[in-house]
Amino acid sequence: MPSDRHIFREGPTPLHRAVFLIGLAVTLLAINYFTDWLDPLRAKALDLVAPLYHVTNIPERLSDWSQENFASREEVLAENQTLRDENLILQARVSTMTSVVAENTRLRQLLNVAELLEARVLIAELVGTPPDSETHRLILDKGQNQEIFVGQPVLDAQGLVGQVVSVGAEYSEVLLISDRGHAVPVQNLRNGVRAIAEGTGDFQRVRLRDIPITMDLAVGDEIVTSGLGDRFPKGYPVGRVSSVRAVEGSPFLEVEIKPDSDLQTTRHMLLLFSGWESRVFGLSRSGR
Amino acid sequence: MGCQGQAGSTMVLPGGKTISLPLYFILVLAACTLYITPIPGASNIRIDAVALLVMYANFYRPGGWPLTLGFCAGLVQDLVAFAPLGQHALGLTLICFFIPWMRDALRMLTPIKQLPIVISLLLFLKFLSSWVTALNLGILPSLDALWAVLLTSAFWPIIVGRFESAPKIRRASV
Repeated sequence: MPSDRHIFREGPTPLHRAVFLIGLAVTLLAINYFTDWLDPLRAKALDLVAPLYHVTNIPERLSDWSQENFASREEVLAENQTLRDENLILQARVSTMTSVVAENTRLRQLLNVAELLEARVLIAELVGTPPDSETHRLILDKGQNQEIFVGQPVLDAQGLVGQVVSVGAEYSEVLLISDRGHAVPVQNLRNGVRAIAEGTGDFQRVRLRDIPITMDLAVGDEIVTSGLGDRFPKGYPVGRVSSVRAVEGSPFLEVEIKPDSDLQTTRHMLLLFSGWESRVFGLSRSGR
Repeated sequence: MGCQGQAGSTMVLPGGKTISLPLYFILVLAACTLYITPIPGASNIRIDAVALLVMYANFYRPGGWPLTLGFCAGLVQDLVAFAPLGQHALGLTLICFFIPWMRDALRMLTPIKQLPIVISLLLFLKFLSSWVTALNLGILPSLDALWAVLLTSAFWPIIVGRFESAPKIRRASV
């Protein structure tokens, strides 16, 4: 019986292996770019990988914990006083707002406009930020088990943060409004002028696209979501106009807004539910 | 092409001991964890510990299947970093392919003198990664990429100095 053993095993050369593996990598990149076949895999990976992000947060959590537990009595009292003051101011504002909301509702009914839906929200905590400095994304600790869906708007106490782009069972991935692949339909609260706000890759700047020179926009104007496109509900604050510049020879203004939300440091966010989620439910991927 | 690694092992340690495949991937996962750990005050800059591990393994402890292991380490890095699948795998496969040509020359140098080659390889990796990002989103890399490369390369002399004995150059006495 002839032996199958060889003294010198022959196999693919390093060049052949390299060509095969490089081809495989390029194929995966092409599949990722042209299709969304790999999205389920990314969603599964989210649940497997997110615990690693928890590990990377341990030093920061320890620091927070030590600050909370070893704060002096004076510091706690001072913080308590500040919170009391803020609470008083907010209560005063809410009492004013109640009458405004009631008046607004009456006017809407008179105008036969659909009532604004009461939004249901879920609080989520930041787990980590992916390391790629060119994209602005976050990992949150809520996923499909908490009914989170792709396209869901994410807010913090100040304004719009971004939208969910991938959902695992227990975690979700959020694309920030400052990411260069993100765009959101907005309008000027002062005069209702509509525009598209797109990310610049800078946490402190979002750009308004294709604004004609004749458009009425001024520094300090509050920009809110317009509700067009059915992705974001109407009226949530996005930011304030920080600069308006006319470029010589261009028919468009260069308008930048500073996001209201603190995109770099915020740790707790609100995931927004309301009546319109059924329309965006099932969208496979956003931000492209 | 320099020394060939042992087939069936990932990294060969002194005394002929080898690192098994599961242990190699635990090391890759540990490197990935370091990669995703934000640096206080500079969250955009990350230490590419996976590239350091793959380069160290290929320069100093070459085992069998270097290209496949580099590719798989890259895929794990892609998954952990939520990057497009293949982004890091492409770069790590390429450097694993080129390292055998420069292995012997690099090992003759002191860790500090190795830095230009190491920085070049890390820059090449970063360039490929940025190229993929540019194709995907039309984004050109920022200066943070350069700082990340410089910070990562600063760890190379520490790793080599800790795990390898320095090459001794003996001068002929007259």
